[in-house]
Amino acid sequence: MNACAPQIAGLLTTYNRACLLPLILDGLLQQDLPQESYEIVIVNDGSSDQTRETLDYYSKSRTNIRVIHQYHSGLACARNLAVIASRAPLIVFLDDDDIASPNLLSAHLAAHKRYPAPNVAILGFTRLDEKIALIPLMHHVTEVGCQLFSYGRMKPGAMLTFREFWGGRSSCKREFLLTHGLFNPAFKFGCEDMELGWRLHKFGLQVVYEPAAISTMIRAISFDDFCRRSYRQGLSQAKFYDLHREQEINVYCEIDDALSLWPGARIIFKRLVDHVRRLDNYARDGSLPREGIPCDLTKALHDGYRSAFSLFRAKGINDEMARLNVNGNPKPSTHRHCSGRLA
Amino acid sequence: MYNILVAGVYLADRENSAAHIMSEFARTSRHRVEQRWIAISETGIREDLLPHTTRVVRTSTPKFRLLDELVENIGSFDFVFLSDDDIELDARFLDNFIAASQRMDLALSQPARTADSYIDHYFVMRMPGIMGRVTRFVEIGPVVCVRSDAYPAIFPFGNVGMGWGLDFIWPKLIQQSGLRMGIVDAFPVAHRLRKPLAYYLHSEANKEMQNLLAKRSHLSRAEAFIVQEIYS
Repeated sequence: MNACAPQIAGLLTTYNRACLLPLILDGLLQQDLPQESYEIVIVNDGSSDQTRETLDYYSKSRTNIRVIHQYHSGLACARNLAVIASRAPLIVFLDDDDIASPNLLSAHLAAHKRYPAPNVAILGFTRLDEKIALIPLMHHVTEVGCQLFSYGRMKPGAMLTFREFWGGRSSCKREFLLTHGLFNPAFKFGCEDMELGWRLHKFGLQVVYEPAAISTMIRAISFDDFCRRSYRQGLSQAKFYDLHREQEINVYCEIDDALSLWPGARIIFKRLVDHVRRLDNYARDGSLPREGIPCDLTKALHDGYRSAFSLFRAKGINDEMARLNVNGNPKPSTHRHCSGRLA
Repeated sequence: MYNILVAGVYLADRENSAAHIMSEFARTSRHRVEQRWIAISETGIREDLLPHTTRVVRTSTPKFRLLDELVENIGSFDFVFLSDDDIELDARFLDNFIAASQRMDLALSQPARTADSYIDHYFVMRMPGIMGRVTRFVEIGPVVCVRSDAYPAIFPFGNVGMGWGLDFIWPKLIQQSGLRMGIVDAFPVAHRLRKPLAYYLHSEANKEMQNLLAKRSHLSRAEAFIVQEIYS
């Protein structure tokens, strides 16, 4: 291998987050590795804001940044492009709302040196920035309901499965992906990481937790944004199950649960969401009128968040399953143009 | 307008899409296309495939030996397409592909594979957000396009059997010739009819590849799977 070739690559995919990019890029450029030993590959997924200008400005100042602009194609496609455009044997998937700690890449690199087997991936640790950690919803989705991410029971060095091959905070060997599979472009948001993890686990994928590889999420998500996110997550869960109709995936993607939950719950859906939105507003701004707010606000809030996000996911799963049933199995025919032996 | 030769081998006794491929290549409105196909068949071939079939081989014969026959006397052609018989092409594939390939100045090129294709090397999977990429790897199939300035580097194939490993030799040859190679993502090919290696043993293919690579200068996988330039 070329002595000057980077040992590890940070792969950042981004879409319309120009306002956050300076913070994110500064973090990536302040890694404690020599500049020549790592590269940053950034794929701009067709952003319509100032992302292009921001990235072009940064790429001029450093030789180890490679910026690629693609037509908007979704997260899976952007990540795939970053994988093939990178040159380092180790690749770290990064999110565009997480700031890398100075040792993020070196911690991933060190972990891969401890676990050099091709099939071993590393899961880093993401925490919430203190400015957003106390927001009730952010606290809920990372510590209570754990819909965003949760490290609650993980022990350092723990051997994990495809379920923990989390995009935006995992690293792996590039060659392992080029040999066994990339992200499925059908996934525009959500589940693209787990779906790839599921396919890779059939080739022996193991995930090791490395809490020293730290990134910090700096973007707060609003209640309505998390509802939309949950709905899209549901769409992707159904898509995931449609590709791999196995019981383990059915359970993991909550398919049967969602299909039985939604028909009865849809009647109360809007009222419930409005109620939880009101609780969320009150929890964030105590000066609002207290009328109708339960005594035990904390419990009501957590129950409400859990129910609302669960229903949005269930709605997404139902909508996608209905679409798939109407359109039939989307897997392409392999016989469209076939001809065979002369009769 | 370019003069283009399409050269291919089809397994007439097995499920194939040769008729579709011949039809799509013939549909160009911008170029002059000649097609030369060899059929491998013990039983006979369909009449609609006859016009482009130059001969029928009765016994199983290594593909690249047959392709060497088909690419004799190609001096008048600007491009040669080598095609397998189990792919699907979109309408106007040829015109679009040539335009994209020329924009990137690729002497050796191929369409990316759709994500639902059988894929041996995921490096060639289609990247939907870009037009294409200059690479150090073009796989030996299912479609390969050779521009006339690369003929001396690529043809004849010689005794390479099924061609396993050629794709790690080609980048050396192309580089030595001062030319560029790459993959066109905007106009991909679907390769989902027959599983590659379905009719060959993996171990045999690997042995054949190692034998070939032992004799020729080539790149490693890590050296080959590199994107040098991207066109959006």
